[in-house]
Amino acid sequence: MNINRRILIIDDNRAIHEDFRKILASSSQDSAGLADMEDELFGETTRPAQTENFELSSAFQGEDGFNLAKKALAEGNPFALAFVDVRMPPGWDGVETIARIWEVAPEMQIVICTAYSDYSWEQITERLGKSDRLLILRKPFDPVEVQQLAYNLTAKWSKPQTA
Amino acid sequence: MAAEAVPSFPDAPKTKPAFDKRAAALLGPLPVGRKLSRSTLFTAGIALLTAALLFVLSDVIGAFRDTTKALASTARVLAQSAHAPVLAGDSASVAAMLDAQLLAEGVSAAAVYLPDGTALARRDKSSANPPPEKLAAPARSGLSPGIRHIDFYQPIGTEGGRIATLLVRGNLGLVTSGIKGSLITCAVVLVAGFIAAARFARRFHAVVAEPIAALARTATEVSTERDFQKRAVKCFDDEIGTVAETLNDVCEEVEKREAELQRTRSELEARLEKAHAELESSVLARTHELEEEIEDRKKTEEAMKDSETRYRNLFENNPMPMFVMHLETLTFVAVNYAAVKHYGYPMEEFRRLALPLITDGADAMTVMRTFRSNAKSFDAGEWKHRKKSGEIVDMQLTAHAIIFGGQVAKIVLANDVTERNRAQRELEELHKKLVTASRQAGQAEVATGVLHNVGNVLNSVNVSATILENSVKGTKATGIRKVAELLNANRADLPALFADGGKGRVLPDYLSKLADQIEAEQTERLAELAHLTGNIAHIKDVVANQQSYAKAGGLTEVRHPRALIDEAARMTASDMRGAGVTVTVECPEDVPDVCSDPHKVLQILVNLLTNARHAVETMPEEMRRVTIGASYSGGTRAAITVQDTGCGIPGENLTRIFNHGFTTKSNGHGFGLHTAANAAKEMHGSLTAASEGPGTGATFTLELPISVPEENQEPARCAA
Repeated sequence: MNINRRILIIDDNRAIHEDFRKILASSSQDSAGLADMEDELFGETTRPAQTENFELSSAFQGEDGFNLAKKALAEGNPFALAFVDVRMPPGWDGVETIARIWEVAPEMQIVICTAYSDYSWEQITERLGKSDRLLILRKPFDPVEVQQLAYNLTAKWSKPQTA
Repeated sequence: MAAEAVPSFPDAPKTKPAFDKRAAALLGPLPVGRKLSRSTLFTAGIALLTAALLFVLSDVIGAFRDTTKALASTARVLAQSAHAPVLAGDSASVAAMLDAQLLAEGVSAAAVYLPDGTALARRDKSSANPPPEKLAAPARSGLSPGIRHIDFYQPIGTEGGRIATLLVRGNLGLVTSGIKGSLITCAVVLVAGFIAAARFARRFHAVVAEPIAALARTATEVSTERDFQKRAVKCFDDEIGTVAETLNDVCEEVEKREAELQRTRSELEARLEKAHAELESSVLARTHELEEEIEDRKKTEEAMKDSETRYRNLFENNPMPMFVMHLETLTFVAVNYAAVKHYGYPMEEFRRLALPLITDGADAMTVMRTFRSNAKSFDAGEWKHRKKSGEIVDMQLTAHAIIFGGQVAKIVLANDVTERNRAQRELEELHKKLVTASRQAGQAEVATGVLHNVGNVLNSVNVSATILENSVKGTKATGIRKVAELLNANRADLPALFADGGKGRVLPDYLSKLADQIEAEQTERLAELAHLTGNIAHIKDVVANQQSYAKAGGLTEVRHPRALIDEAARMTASDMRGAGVTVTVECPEDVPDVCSDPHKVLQILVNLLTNARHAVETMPEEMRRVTIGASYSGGTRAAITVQDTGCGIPGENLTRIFNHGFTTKSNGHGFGLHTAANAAKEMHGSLTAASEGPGTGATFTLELPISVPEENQEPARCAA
């Protein structure tokens, strides 16, 4: 199954971008040779599950993110998922950005990140409508949680596309 | 009142010189001048008149003599010449001769009488005065003067043989005309003499009378006007001059005396007036005192009358509990109804009690010491009293010394403050709660800030920790144990292991690769750990800053702007770094210390820096610059400026940005700048904004009062 692993990160904080990269785009340092030798020497080995490599794009303002999403769509290489920060002064905030993105790419899966609740769930749904494409991720987040979200949501995006 | 202005001279002589009575009657009442002129004229007139009369008289006598002489000679000549005719009796020739005589001047008539007295011839000039017809006394001869004429009788003939008598009558015309001429002359001389006399008199008048008149005028003025400042003019050094001098002396003396008198009088008057006023005021004061005394006495009497009843009423029916205590034993001598009601002890029981017995929480000695005090009236403070019911109440007691039943006693006013104290405690409790609540609210706010600042960093920490964990979990280091186990398992036949076809052949390669791998892992982990440590240090910074930020403010401290700027920059450093903003600090050392509440200043600066960051975030990365600096250009304030290269502020918003609730941020509150401006004001400073419009960046200036170094004061004190 060909899964679209393209993910867009929209956050005004550079450190967060770094965090996402570490979690989602870390290349395995394992050299294949070592594993083979272990096979030969010790017979059975526990190879770690091969991590999927996600393709990450960064935007530091809501509007930039929206433009990237639009551009990717136009190029026929859309993003499956976006992690969007709520607070991104001075431009659009997260909710605004999501609303704009969904105008052009309604099928995009979105995780909204917030350090503390600027908006309650009610307020968000009031703005964006009830949606099965939106999840809330509280900062500080668990890397595994992010990985799971990335895997599942990209897969979820890919299913209706491929189906 | 008027004293005698003109002093009298009782010893002055008042004798009158003896005068000629007629002269006195004639000249007495006239002024001196006229007196003088009249006397001059009179004297001159008498002299002239006498001279004139003598002259006229001698003239008349002369003329008469001449006339008679002429008549006599005429008569003698005629008598001689007529002798013959008369003898002849020739009357005609005699008449002719007579007529010839009539031609002579001064002869008015002529006649010749015979001795019997009959007229031989009679002739006259004008028949107005004819000679008599008959001669009464023929013997007569010589001169016979009449009133209108002179008759001269001349006998004709010899002596003894008179044949006739000749009469020649002469008129007195010559004499009369002579007299007339003399009289005219006399009159002319008289008139001229009078005129001269009058002229002289006038001259004399000026010299003699005028000074006297002037003197008299002056004297009159002095006496009528009572003006002793007037002075007579001394014209000559004569008697009048002396009189004038004397008058002046007298006037001067009088004036002097009068001035003295006047002074004395005014002094006297002033003294009198003063004495009068004093008397009046003292009388008034005394009257007032007396009135007051009377009033007081009245009041006292009235008060005395009902004071006893009143005080009894005041005590017994007073709504406040009151009691009278024996000075030494502090037993209750009298208790009012309110006390009975309040404490619950019946009156009889109360009277058997003493203050120490109902006092709780203090021993008898303390109570005794307090209430035996000599002070007339004192506030005894709060005491705990036990009621009949056993309830303990807070009573505030005030004691006064009184005479009761002839003895010194203490009357005590008791006020139940239990409720008040409870309310106060509750209030304090409430206040404490409020303080706690507000502190919690403040903490919540601080926590929000901390969460915001820490949240992102914590994220990185979390990620780093997970990566480290995974790295450790998936470490290849376990391979060493596996190698050891393998070697142990083949301990019996190690060479076989390394023999051809044995597993041992790959072991050296494996070990060297493993070493590489472990080294790589190590490096990776070290890097991650460094990142983690950095992030944790960052969190520590944020928390430390937040703590100092959250410290109770309100205290004014003296700080150098640099310290404030650095702290604010530190607090915002992570956000700035995160947004790729370059922050430049420009603060010369010669900027003076400022007086401020550092908490507030940091609040303001962080706010400004955050705004600046937001303003530059939309710019390209190389344009994201924020400058924070301090400057001082004299005066009482130094300035801290935050300058950005961001989106700028439209002119119409330059002041509106400080309004409460004004924001350009979609999720802003509009409190930040408003609160900041208020805080600046509270510190006696100001916050202003400047921008040349959209896209030109903005500069915010916070002005703060500089500290004024004061002598003998360490450290420098704040001026504000």
